[in-house]
Amino acid sequence: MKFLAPALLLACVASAAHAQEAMYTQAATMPSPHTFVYKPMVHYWKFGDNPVTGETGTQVFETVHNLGYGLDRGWAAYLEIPANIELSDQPGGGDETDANVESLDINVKWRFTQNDTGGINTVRAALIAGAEVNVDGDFAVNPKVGGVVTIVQGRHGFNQDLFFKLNTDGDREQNLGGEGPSDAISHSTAYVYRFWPDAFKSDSRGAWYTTFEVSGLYETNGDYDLRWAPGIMFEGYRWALEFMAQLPLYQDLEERPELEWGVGFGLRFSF
Amino acid sequence: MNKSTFSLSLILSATILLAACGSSGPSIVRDPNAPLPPGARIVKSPTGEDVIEYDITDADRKALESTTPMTGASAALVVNGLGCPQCASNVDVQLVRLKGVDHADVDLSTGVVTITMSGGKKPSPKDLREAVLDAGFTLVRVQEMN
Repeated sequence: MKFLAPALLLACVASAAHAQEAMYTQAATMPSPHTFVYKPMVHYWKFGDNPVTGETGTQVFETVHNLGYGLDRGWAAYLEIPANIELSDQPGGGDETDANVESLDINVKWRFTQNDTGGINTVRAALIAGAEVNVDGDFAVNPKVGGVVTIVQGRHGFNQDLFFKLNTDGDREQNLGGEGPSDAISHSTAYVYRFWPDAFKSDSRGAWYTTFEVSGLYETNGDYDLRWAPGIMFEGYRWALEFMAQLPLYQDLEERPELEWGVGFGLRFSF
Repeated sequence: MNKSTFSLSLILSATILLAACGSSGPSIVRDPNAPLPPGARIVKSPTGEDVIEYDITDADRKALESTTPMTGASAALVVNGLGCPQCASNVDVQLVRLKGVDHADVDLSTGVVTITMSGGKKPSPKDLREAVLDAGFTLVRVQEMN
């Protein structure tokens, strides 16, 4: 309740935000010039045996604060601050807790094409470049680059992203996906379906969507996993909330633990 | 992946697919009872839905180049790409930042944004087009009223 009250208050006073964006997939949308978008998110993941450390299970609680700012038409900058708590079951029994802010994620998004073909329909694409800056322990900058395409046709929305991250550091023992010494290629596909309302009315100020995402992560050490995430999202006129589950589809992993399941909850405001 | 996780995956997949397909019959993107704005027509989208489209003429496009301030108290803006409630919010924020624009009201059923204006200096059609572009959408027609 302590958290809910300020969130609802912010929802009441917040204005524009970008939309049609599922939780784990980027979208070629962004805050308009000189507006901010704030996305607080909470994630939980449960992982199995770690083949590197021998730990028999890991749970991760993560809070993410993502702040976006519209720099100019078609340009936006993002700062993401993830903070997590990891609970690891040790091989000899007992557990170990590790709490930290490992890195800051800084990105710039450039929407280089946009074709609004109808009242609702649009096709747009954006390039994203940035870096993950490690602030926990040794300072390191891990650059990344990628792109995303967004298509909206009536009640159906699609997002497809692809990223490459060059890891200049990384710890094999801390790697839960893309955080090891190997470079990483990630891709994510999102399908967003508006199930209510069937038709927008003159006074429509909100909509419910189901979301379905498939996300893959390949690391140059040969590890590859594919996850899918069913979810639900509500977009109000001035805010949004989303709730997703994340489950494994395919896992061929030798350098990090397999995911058992995860959930995520997020809000979205701008001001 | 263990058996229970796999089973849960299947159940959730089926639920999502059923939810997505459950509303069988024609999907209507716009309210069928809403009156059509001038120059609008209903067409079938590639996904089989009835969507609203506007006949945009060269004169409409040329009018958006005008830098002459508008004189009316309100105007109807036909905007393309307004796919969601928050998109609408993006548009009204940018429009009300323009000098002379007091209020912007977005109708998602028609894609029409109605603005009310006052004061000595009102925006030109080109100002409006630029503001809508800033918001991330495309202005295709402006119709001044009053």
